[in-house]
Amino acid sequence: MTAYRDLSPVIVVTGFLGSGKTTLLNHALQDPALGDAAVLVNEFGEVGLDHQLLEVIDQNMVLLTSGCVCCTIRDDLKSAVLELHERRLQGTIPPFRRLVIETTGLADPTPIVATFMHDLELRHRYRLALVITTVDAVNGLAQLDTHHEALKQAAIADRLVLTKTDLAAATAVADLRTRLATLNPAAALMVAHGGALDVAALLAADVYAPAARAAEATRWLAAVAADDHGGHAHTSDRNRHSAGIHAFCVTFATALDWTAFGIWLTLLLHSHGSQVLRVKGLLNVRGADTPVVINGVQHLVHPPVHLPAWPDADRRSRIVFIVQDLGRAQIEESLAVFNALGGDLPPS
Amino acid sequence: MCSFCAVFAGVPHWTEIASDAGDHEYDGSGPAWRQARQRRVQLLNVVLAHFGCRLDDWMGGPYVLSSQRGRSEMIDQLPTVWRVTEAIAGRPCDPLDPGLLTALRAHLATRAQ
Repeated sequence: MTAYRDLSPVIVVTGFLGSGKTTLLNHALQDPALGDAAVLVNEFGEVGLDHQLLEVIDQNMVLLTSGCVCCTIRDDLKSAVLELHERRLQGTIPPFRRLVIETTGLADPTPIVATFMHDLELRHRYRLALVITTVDAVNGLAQLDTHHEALKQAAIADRLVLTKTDLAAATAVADLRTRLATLNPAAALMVAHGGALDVAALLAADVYAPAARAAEATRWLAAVAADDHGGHAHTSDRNRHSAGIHAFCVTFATALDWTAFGIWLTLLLHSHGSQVLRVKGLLNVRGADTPVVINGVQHLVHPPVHLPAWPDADRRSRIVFIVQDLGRAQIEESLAVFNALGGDLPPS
Repeated sequence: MCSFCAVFAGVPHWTEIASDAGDHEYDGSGPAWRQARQRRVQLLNVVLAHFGCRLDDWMGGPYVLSSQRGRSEMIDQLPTVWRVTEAIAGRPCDPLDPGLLTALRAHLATRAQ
């Protein structure tokens, strides 16, 4: 079986209509850091992409029996990706090492995530690396308030890229930054100036890239810790604007039992998966010397990553949740009880 | 992997990847894997008792979920346990349900005595 880190990384670029996805991509694809990428787009937009490996995908979806939106398999996407893979093997296209997928502005990106995590053929060749979401500084706040797709795109992002900041008032940009930091504190916020930004920093969010994983895990935990200390203003703001979507970090001083944690999280995602937009955590697992990183998008959980060392002196388990209409205390209490069950049994 | 749809044979569910494994090394047959699986079944049975169900390991292959009324189903991976248990028990399996947490605390208290 191919090691997960050796699979071709997939980068999903999403963002609401007119938020600058294509402009960002046009810039990023000129950077040597993305020189080895193939690109799939949902449609040709007004801004044309200039790239030698560009394919358009249609919109056929196959819904799995659960009917869950995040488990919708994009059949067209699979076909397009496998065709690219074949052509790469045949040598009829340059040997790309990563794949970039640009979604439509009105798309919920979770079916794309689901496709790469469910499909056996794809799973043996590709892994989801990161979700990049562009947010328009002029219209972003209004879009987050009125379009659930925009809210979802921002909530599941690994990187948020603010665009059109030069066209927006400074106060509007500041408000949008605050709003995004509350909605998804684990995602680093970057600013693109005319589509230009540090592409290497953009790609560093891939927690499965060996060189980046420790720093990235530390960064999103620190961001959430800072947000947690932000206090009451965030609480009222998120309740007013984000349709019950909020983020918090659950901290456990007691080492977690891996078996009990797996049982608990699968059960939580089974019953509340559509409300759990993201789960990211650095776990102190009983019996393990170094931490385990977990990373999930709704019902979908990446394989765990074992870090070679603790990134800092803090040995507590820290788990970031971005949830809709779920309480922090409920989750903390439930996990504590399930973890105690694990402590009740001898370790394996 | 999806909690609802994880039904693909031959692909390890994330919970089956050992927490102390290297980069996603998956040993689907060794003694440590079997021991971890046995422990998973033990823990699951504490939770499933609340729903009148129990799980058995079927020779390291699929699991068998049985109800007190004698209904049983083969199950491949952990997420499927919850879907089938709900169907058998006729009520939702929810880790945030105060009734379930009370039952689990009562189990812990009994074991502590």
